[in-house]
Amino acid sequence: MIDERWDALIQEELDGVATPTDRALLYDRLARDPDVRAAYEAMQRLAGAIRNVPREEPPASLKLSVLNSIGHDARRSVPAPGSRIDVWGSLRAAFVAKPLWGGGFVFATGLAVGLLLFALLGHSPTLDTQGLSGSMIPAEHFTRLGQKTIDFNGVHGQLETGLSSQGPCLYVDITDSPEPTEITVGLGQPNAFRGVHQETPANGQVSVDADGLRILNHGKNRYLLTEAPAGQNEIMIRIRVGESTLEERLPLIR
Amino acid sequence: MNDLDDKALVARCLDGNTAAFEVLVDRYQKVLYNVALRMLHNREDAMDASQTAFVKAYEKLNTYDPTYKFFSWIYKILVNESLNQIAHRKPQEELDSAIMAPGRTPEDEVGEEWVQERVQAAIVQLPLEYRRLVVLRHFGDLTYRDMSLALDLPEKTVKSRLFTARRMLKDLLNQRGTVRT
Repeated sequence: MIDERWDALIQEELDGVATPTDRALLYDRLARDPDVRAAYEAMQRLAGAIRNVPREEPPASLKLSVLNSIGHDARRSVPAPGSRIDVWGSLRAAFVAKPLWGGGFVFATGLAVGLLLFALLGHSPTLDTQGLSGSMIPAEHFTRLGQKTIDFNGVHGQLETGLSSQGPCLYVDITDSPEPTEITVGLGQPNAFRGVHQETPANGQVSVDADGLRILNHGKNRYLLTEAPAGQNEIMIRIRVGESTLEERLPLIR
Repeated sequence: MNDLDDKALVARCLDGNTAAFEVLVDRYQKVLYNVALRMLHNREDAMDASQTAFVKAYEKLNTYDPTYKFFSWIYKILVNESLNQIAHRKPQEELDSAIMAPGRTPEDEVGEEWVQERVQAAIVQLPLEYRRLVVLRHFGDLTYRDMSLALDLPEKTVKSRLFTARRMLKDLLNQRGTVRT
């Protein structure tokens, strides 16, 4: 155990704040006192060990989330009235009422009942999205990241990932499909997206199960999935029609 | 805009130029995230704390005093945010298993990676008032004065607590036989 004075001086030297006089004193002591030298070397090893702890890259979504939170676009491009169904948010909030745009009290009640059944009975609710209307993200506020054309077992349309004021999002644009067309989003990531919206004409159904979000599509529909989780660089989308499955990966970062 | 200093960027932000804040985010997101990660030892919490710190900083930019360094100021917000998260955390949520890499066999327990993991684990074991000093000094590269501003502590207290923190860290690592001190 060395004198605390030397210990303090060692730390000041390693922090680069020792005065020239103190440094000269310390180095003189180091040359003559093996205990002080051992303490100095130990502190050097400690500093080296901490320095070698790897610094991690932050998730790409950190910057995006911050900019979306502060940006003017974020305030201008909230979904149009009637377009939002925050399924996972509702689950997370344990059925505490959340703001829903003018889609109506009837829909909100239906959603709450569906979620309650989900919790009580342990199986998938069917969320009635009838009656929702309004466009999702104005084109000028949407930056496309990836796109895939769907032409598969009679299902036509496109998948499109992009950045919006709501962060990374996915459009599923079905122009035509036989019934039933089941679209599973976020395979392997149960809550890959927490927000789901549907454009008119709302003749599809959205449900939640263990695999994530499922859309049971009838005919022509456009869906918007938002609130991707932090740190996810891409999304795998599985479209299943009957017994056949098509899998696509699309980027969620620039 | 990348070549502007922090104070000039803050001035532009206050004029309504949000692109200037993007430069500040680019400049500090990695170091802030890593400070939060070492404070909280959980990636998701570190992401949340960093995000909140940036957003709060933006919202409070008009209260920023340009006689101080911007990064000392935002670290202060981040440290407070991290402490809030720890205060609301259940004990079992303390460690991120992906960072701790538990369940190692004796054969694994060699090499630099193992030492790094032990050092990280020892940092997490430090009491918060000491942990935050080690993290700010070694992961944020803050000076005593910057830490004093970020933590609202006299510089002398920062220095003495940092010394104590390192001694505690040394003892912890000695107990584990990690770093020969």
